[in-house]
Amino acid sequence: MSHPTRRTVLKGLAGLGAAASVSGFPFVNRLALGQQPLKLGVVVPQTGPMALEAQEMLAATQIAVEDVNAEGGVMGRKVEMVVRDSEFKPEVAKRKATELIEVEKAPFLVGAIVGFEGIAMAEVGCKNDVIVSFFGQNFLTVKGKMCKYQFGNNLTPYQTAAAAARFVDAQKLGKKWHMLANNYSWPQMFERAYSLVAKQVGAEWTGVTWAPLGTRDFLPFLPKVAAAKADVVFVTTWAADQVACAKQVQEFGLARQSQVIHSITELTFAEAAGKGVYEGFYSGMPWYWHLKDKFPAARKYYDRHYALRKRAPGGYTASTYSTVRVLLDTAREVKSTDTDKLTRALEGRKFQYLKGPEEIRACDHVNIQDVYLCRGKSAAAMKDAWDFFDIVQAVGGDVVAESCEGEGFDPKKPLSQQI
Amino acid sequence: MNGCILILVALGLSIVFGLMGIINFAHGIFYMLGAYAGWLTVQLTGSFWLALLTAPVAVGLVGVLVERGVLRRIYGTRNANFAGVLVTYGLAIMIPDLVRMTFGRPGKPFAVPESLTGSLFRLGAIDVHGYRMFILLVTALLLPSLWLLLNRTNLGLVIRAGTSDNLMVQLLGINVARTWTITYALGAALAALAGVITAPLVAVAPEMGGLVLIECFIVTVVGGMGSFLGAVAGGLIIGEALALTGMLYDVLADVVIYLAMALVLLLRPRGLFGQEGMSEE
Repeated sequence: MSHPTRRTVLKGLAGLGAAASVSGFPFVNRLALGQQPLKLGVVVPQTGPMALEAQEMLAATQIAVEDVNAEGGVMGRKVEMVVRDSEFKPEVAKRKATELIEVEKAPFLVGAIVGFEGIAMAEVGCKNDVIVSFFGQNFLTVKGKMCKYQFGNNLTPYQTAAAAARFVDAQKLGKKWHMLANNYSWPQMFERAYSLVAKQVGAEWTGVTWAPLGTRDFLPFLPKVAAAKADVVFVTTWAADQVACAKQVQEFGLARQSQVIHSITELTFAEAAGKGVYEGFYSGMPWYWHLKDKFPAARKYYDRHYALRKRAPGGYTASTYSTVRVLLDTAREVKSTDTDKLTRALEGRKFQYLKGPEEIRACDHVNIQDVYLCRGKSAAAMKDAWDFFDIVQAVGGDVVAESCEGEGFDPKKPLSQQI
Repeated sequence: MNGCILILVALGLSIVFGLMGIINFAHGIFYMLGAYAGWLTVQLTGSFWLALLTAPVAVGLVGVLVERGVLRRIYGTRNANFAGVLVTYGLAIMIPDLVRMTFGRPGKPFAVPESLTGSLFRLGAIDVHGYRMFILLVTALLLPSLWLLLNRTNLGLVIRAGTSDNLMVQLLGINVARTWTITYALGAALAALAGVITAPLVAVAPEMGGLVLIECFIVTVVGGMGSFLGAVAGGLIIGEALALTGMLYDVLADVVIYLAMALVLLLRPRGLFGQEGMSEE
């Protein structure tokens, strides 16, 4: 028997490679791809004012990717995070998202903490037919402003506001409502939601006191809020503005006259304000770490996040985990990273990770989920450094999400069949 | 409160510009560093009162380092003014990131001292709190002291003379380099004091200096670049414009300070108390 020559072996290998490249040998493809990781493109502001929030979200992404890999990855391929820094600039977010698609060949993108990053990433994803899923609030769910490849497991502004308003109604906290907010597009979305729900539940909407973004001194704005003589004051501010506002609302004594509710907060803001500053205020959150006592998966997530970051995870990190998990789990289930196939599979998908059941509503890609209304604790009542709140009520379901008709969509059709 | 903070920060900005001709984009970081130095002092000693002393001193020393280590290298070079803008702008980007890396997550809890909490009296619809009165008092005491320093001491004389004609002062054999260092450190210390007294009411975060800097540039433009009185008047005007708009017509609060600046520039391009030619050199 004659041995094959070197030339014969090379020819054979070349032929095998050519056959594999036209999918003539699926097993060869799988073999080859199985050794190549599947790239998950992540764009977050690793530098700039949200750098530390970005680190928290990267930790959550890492945990989600590790969990998926521990379960065998996606189509036998390990998932690998490819992270790019948006530098908190929309034009950079756009450039990095493009780079992840064109150079790294990432089949889907996640990330964006604030609105302008989300808009930039969505533009790139929609143009390149790549799924983009946001870590921050899912605020683009309106016909004409989104494409069929946009997702986001975090709350929408409408959900956040409607949950707080329904909570007020359920707890009978009063029928006269007012809002104190920063004056830009995101809080303006809350105004619309609050005024709509006020009509639905028969509450009186007394309007909004607007403070510029970056307000250091809220005191001049508080007499107008007090003059509204509202039973409930919703405060819609974020980050440093929320911390300053919370401190000065306490100083002003607004809580003696009205129930103060932060439409949404993060654990980091309560930490920055200091112990007891949020005492007596209610705050909405997509998740709160006390849920570890209710859901075993949340306990496991808490422990792993704590091991990575040496601190309790905030609500946005849990949304980040869920955003990454649902995307990768769905890709594994449909055995594909094809954008259209994956989009169709995500529409209407039900899942449960770190909190109660969630569902990506097919007609607008809004994640139907619970919002947790929590009450701020006094400094004396805190049991540890992160024990700022107690969960009072979970408010959720379709009732707090804006209807698909309200957003301009057909409720009977998946979004992918509408745009 | 806003007016007091703006006066303290803008004073340093204005004096530094007046004497050294530097548009100091790094000035906001001294305000931020003051808040952090104050927070650190309170963490270590538990004393807010000590923080009032340590923050301006520590940040003043940082000012010395910046002036001697960085700015001194560009004096007298070609396009020194432009280089000053670039260098200070670079510092304004770099130092907040260093703070972020050193102190970790933003937002350091900083409470109002117990003895200054609570309402003192009611003024119209507003309870006037002890801490806000304290900020007013600090500013009210500091302004005459600074005025005396600038107008009744030899150092002040040199600073004022340098502001007016730097070259002539050097020709008279006065050590202007030392005066520049002292002036820069003084400006940094004033901003740091503003930072530490604001800290209990806001979020102590690395980016806090950027926000105050924009308003303070407007204050100095309104009041007149390089003018002590201008910084005080500009701070009061902009602070009151912000407060009154917030109370009376909040939707305008976003733009009122820019409108005020545009109005002043139209009517008096050098600012209310600015010297002719000062900002054109």
